[in-house]
Amino acid sequence: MAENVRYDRKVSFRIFCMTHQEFLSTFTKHLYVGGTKRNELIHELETHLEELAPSESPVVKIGNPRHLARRYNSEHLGLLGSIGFMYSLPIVAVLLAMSWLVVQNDVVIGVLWMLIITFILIAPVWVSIRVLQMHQAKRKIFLFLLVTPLIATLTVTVIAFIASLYNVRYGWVGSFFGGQPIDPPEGIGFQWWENILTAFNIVWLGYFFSLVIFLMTSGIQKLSTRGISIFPKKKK
Amino acid sequence: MNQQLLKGHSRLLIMAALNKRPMHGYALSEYLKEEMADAFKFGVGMLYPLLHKLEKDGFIVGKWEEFAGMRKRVYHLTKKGKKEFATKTREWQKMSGMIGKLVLEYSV
Repeated sequence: MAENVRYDRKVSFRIFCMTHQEFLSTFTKHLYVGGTKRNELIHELETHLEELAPSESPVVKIGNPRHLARRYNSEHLGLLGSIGFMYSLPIVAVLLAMSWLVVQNDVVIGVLWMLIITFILIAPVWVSIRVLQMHQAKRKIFLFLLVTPLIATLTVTVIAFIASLYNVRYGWVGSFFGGQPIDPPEGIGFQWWENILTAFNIVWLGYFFSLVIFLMTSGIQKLSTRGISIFPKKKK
Repeated sequence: MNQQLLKGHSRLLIMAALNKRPMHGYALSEYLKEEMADAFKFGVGMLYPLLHKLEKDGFIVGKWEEFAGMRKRVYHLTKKGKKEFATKTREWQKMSGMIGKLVLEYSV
């Protein structure tokens, strides 16, 4: 690193001392743009780094590679596409849970509502954006598919359990979202485990359909040769 | 100088530089640094996203060209970009004239 460079305390020392290769590697890791555009963007930044002397700090000259990648994501993918997986997990989980909570009094209607919201609105849009526009490692894709319904299940389970403790059906919770509160008939109480089981079934049903849609869009993605594949490539 | 003054004029500055001659990202960043004489800090982190935005809007086009034995993405101003640059330049001249007049009129 050049001797006359002053260390900026806003950046961690580890990032400040990055080599050109480390800089490019960090940038590539946080860049979500996929397809041919991705290669162009990385190559362009690579050519810029080649112009810098080996002693010049790329962080000083260009900036934090993670922030740079975020700006690129925001520019090329828009707001929705640039949200990382760790932020999108709770968003999708809350959407899944909330859609179930808007249920009125009927399990059938509840399941139908959940199916409509999850499969027709959320899953196709979300998964398509993820697969067609973004580049993610395999483990992150499966993490998304596994953890999202778990968070949704947990959220719904906790709320259903609390509602059950007060001996009311989930319609009571739905009243917060505009539904009519329902009291159980006198002398009859609802088993707490019934509500939880219903919630569990609905969310995991949503998960399986999301997985099906994801695999379908992955197949289409592979056929369109965008270079994103969840299956390991066979070594020649 | 206040960096906030640069915002809103970054695109005009880039188009002005590319109107002079086509440049790749590094050359553009060095050119702007030299021309602004360090009055404004035009970060590379801001430059490339702006270039991509201008390209998406059709004002510039990036082409991979051989430059001293290396392949570089060189940006050229398009016809649409030249028209836009001319429009923005006229607007800038009008605005700076009005501001200058007001500031001088009311300055002590």
